[in-house]
This record gives sequence, structure tokens and C-alpha cells, in this order.
Amino acid sequence: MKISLIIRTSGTVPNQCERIQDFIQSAVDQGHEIKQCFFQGAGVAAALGDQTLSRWRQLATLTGAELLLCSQAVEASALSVPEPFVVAGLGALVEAAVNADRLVSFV
Amino acid sequence: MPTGWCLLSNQRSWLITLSGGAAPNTDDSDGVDRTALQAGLDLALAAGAFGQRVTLVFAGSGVGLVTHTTDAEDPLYRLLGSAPFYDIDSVYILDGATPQTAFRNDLHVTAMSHKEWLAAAGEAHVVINY
Repeated sequence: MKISLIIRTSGTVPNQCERIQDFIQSAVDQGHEIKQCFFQGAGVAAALGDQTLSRWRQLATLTGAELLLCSQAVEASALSVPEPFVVAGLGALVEAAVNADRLVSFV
Repeated sequence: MPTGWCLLSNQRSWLITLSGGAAPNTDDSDGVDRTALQAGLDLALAAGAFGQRVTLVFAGSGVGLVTHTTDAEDPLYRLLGSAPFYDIDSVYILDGATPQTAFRNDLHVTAMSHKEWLAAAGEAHVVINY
């Protein structure tokens, strides 16, 4: 099954990023394909946190999934974007939703 | 093969519900998470712009965007007014509407029961709550 994710969870929610990463790992272990993770709103800053960034890099390598940061949130917070993250607009999210079998949202 | 076939093959049905209550951080004095409402509405309009069939439902704190208001200059309220330009001609209000409820007059607003919402969620390809 092709799965895409919308991630809006704030870094203030304890262990939430780790749970999302565990979900991705578990989905891949069960043979599913992660197509895209679209980080939106508070999820953008949370994705770039020191504690989660290295594992996102590992997961990107493992899954080949696109890690997209909502352009609006990046511009609003004037964030620098490290690889493998890429800045993208809502069109990319729409495309991923259309092409995926499931779109899973984390808030 | 007709040209339109490719376009239609990428069209999916979306159910986007805007309640503004799911995110833990609220940034408005009345406790409404405006960022969630904004994000959800932006996505609905983007999906409409890309030819998707969007069913847009308002609940909870989002209901204020479809009821009549004297503050028609509110940016979100105005943004929602552009929905017909994105082929979102009807929006829905989940429960809570009474015969006395005055809806905004620039959109076609229809009441939707919880049962109807569940049925719509079962039929939609993409279901997202903001």
C-alpha cells in the first residue's frame, strides 16, 4: 500500500515525532511504501529539531520518501532547510494524496 | 483516447472537515485555532484548483466561517468566499444548525447530519480533519 503523511504535530507534544517515525518504520517493515511526508504548520519546526532530524534522514534513506516542508511555514519562520528536506507547496500535497492509497494525518 | 480522460483519472473525492479544535496550541483570544482553519481551507482550495472533488464541512469552531457575521473583513471569512472560484460550490455545516441559524449569503450552505458525514467519509478517497 502506498502511504503519504501529513504531519502537523508540534514539538511540544512529548514523543509525538518519535511515534510518527515508529509508524513509518513499522509500515515499511510490513511491506508498505511511504511516498511522502508533508510537514505543515507547527510540524515544520518540529521536524527540524535536533532530536528528530537525524532519524528523519535515516528514514528518508530507508524509504525513499520525499520529506516536504510547507513553503508557507518555512517562509513565516525564516527557517533554513537542511537536506533531505525540500520546500514545497500544497500542490505537492494534493498530488501525493491523489497518488497514495492512504493519506494519514498526524496532529 | 479523449484528452479529458487523463484529467478525470486523477480526480479523487476529498472530505475536508474544518473544526479548528484538533491542534493543541491555540493562538487566538477566543480559543479558536485559526492556523488549523487556515491550513485546512488552504488545502481545500488547492485541491479544488487541481480539479479535485472537494466536500468541505464546517464543525465546532469552524462554524463561525459559514454563519452570518458583521465582521465580513476577517481574512479567513473572505478567503472562504472565494471557494466557488475553486469549484467548491457548496459547503456543509455538521450538526449544530437550527432553523434560526443565519448562514452567510455568498455561499450555498447545507446542513449535514453526523450520519451523513460518516457516509461521506466512507465514500471519500481522502479524508482530513483540521
